[in-house]
Amino acid sequence: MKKTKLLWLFLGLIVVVNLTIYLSRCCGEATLTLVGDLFPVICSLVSVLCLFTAVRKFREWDFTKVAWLMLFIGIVLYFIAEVTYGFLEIILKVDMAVVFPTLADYIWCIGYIPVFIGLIMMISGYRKSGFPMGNYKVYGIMGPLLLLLLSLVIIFLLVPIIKDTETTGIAKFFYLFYPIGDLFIVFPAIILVYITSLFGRGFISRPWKLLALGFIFFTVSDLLYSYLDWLGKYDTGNIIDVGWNIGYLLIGLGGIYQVEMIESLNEVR
Amino acid sequence: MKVYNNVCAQRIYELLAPMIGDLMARGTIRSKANFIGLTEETISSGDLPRLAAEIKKGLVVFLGSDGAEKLAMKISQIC
Repeated sequence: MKKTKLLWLFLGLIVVVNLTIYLSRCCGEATLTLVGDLFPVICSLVSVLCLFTAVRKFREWDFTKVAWLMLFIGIVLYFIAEVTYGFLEIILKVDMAVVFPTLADYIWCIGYIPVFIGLIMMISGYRKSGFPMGNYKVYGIMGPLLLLLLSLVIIFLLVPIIKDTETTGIAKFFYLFYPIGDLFIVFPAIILVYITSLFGRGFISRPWKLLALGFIFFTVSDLLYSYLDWLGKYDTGNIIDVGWNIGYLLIGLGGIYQVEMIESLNEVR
Repeated sequence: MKVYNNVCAQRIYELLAPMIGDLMARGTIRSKANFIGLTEETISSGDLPRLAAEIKKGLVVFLGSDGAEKLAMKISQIC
């Protein structure tokens, strides 16, 4: 069976198991915590391995390889952060609802930087490729929608956090960093989704499409997490966790499709 | 599905269309042929290396230099 098919099946399995456990709350808080911490570790590890394989497939150290390398480094940092978070919560029994930020948050924040660089490199490389950027009217519509998203995040998330006198300065920094960092990721991801739509059924853009969708899932979960966590309403085992797992696996799928695409060039007659 | 009278153009199209989609493939062949002073229907086997080099530039961002070079080699020998 092709690796892409296997990974799709794995994604489906993770989502079904994840949703079943979270929605039914069948197995107790300890199991919820274990699943909530273990699944992102597994999914991020899968993503790391897939992206590593993709980076290795590019033989020459060129712009494209560096862009994928940046994404790989970012996801490696996310994986380390997930392991750290799980270790703190499960092994050291740190109450993550009370302790914020933790070491995991520092690592996640650093991870945003190479991810952003990688996505921007892809868009920049595409602009130089000579392929069309699409209909500028679409960007004209996208712009205000993204501004609307930015406004909503500022009004409902950032301003209340800034005004909150009960939150410490360092916690405030991280509560603010996550949504701002997410916007820096989601904007190029949305542009990539549009660009890849220009290729219709062409398979060359499929890896990018999956990467972009993966980061969009991430961002949605992250923004919801930031809001709920600041309100003190986020606990491990929240349904939004599924978004992160889906995000990681979609990013991994992007890597595997990229590998298969490069390998298929050897078979083209 | 586009059909060209020119054999070289048709084979390049059949190679590119599954990769970049029908519209992009047609647009790429037209724009790159025009860039080197040709039309889609006047491409000959002698023009293929130049045409392949131009097409390669656009594909590097997706395939990397090595992958794009492999594809360019296939295009330069396609007819």
